[in-house]
Amino acid sequence: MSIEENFNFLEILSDIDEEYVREAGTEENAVQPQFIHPRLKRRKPVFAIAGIAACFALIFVIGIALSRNSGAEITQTLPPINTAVNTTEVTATETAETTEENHRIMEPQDNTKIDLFSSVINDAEGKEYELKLYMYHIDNGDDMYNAEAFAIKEGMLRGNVAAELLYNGERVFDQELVIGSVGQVAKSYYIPEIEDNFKVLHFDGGDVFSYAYSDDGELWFTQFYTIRDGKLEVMERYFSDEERKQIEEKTTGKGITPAKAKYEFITTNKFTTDQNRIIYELDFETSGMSGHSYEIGSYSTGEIPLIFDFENSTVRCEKEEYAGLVYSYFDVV
Amino acid sequence: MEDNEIIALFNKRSQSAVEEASKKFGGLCKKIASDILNSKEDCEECVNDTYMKLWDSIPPANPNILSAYIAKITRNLALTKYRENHRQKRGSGNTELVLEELENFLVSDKTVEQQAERTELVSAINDFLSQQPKDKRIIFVQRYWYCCSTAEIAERNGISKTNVTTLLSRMRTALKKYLEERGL
Repeated sequence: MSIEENFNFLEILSDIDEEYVREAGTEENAVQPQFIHPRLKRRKPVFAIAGIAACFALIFVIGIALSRNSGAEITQTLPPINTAVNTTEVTATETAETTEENHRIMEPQDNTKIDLFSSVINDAEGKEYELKLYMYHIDNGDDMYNAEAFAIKEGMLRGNVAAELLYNGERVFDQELVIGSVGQVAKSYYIPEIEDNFKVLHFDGGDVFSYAYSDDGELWFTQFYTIRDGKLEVMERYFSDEERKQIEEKTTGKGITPAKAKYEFITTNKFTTDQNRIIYELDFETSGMSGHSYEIGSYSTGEIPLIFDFENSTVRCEKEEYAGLVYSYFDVV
Repeated sequence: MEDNEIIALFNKRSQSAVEEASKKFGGLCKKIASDILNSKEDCEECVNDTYMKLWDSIPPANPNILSAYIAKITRNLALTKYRENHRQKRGSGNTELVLEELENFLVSDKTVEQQAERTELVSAINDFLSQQPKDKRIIFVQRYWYCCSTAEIAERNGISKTNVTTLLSRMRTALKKYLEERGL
């Protein structure tokens, strides 16, 4: 099957019943997403108790307010964003229909952004930069997809993430950070743990910025960056010989050639650093999915050492047996 | 504005027809084009071409479901643009992932045109989709018609990405079997 034939099939799908197109493209089918972080799920009993206590407290306060001034207007204020998020630049406003605590949709306005992270980071020559991350909203012009694309909901902060570099206080570079699934509209981060997703790590060879997006709270998609010529540069991961062999076996005769490099790693949130290595600890067995554009192999407990090569801005896995641990992107020819 | 009112504007050759269509369906067109293409310029060009094609086709066309009609025009234009771009370089939108998933999908190495008449194949696909539960059908169409990412489908339908991937994989297998049984 050639790419051209697949393409023909896609074109043939254009002619399917318009009713199916309509029902899949309208919001009536869309169950509202539940952004309940796995860690929030585990804490449900705590939240339940806290919620009951809060209800009693609210009734008590309202009772006192009414008894003191029966004509007074009682206003409900939204809680501030967790202190993990610097809200000094937030100019977002909540919409009228979302007034529940810890649940608000922010209306995108010009210059609306929320600071997520800030750290000093050095380039290979020892020049000191300030790296800032912020969350913002990209309006793609489609109300259906913009809805809740920039929001606080169920303890999650949701939006697009971008980075900027400052040198001597002046912005010299900025870039939208893309990680996770291709085409994903926005990222969701559990507010109290936002800073866990962004780290500047110091190695013998230089500084590395680690940008992670956790899909399930356990395994993370991660990209690594260094600073070169005043810009953030992805540390690409090239296939090892063993990986190349495995991928070639899978792709031979299928009209697909493996890409030269991979950009995202599957990691965990437990790691240590040593010289120019970062060693992730995987303390549970898991297996990934297949049949997609990428494959994640099954893998078991152990240490996963990644070695950074600062001269070439690359990073590779030291253990050949972990081939398939990371995303395998393919070039289609 | 209601769909029939917009169609009436096109029939009257009113200049506001395109403006009203753009107001109501501009976001949908942009979304479809951007999911297939990976360039803001290409996307804008594709959306503008959609309105031109809409203007040229209504009348005589009188679409029953205007949103689906416009979406189909945008999708076809975007796929054509993608094909043009793809001859020169590799893109990086959702289309490649969708194409990869469809790899080895049909029965033999023969081209689609050789295997069946287009209408027969479309009819069989429609039959297959009509037999699927609505929620599964929606996910299939969101992936292979709208070229949405699995993450987006997962969010819109309140299920995990793994579930989306698994469901799509099963549906591809089932569709393949369905078409094979009919000699397609």
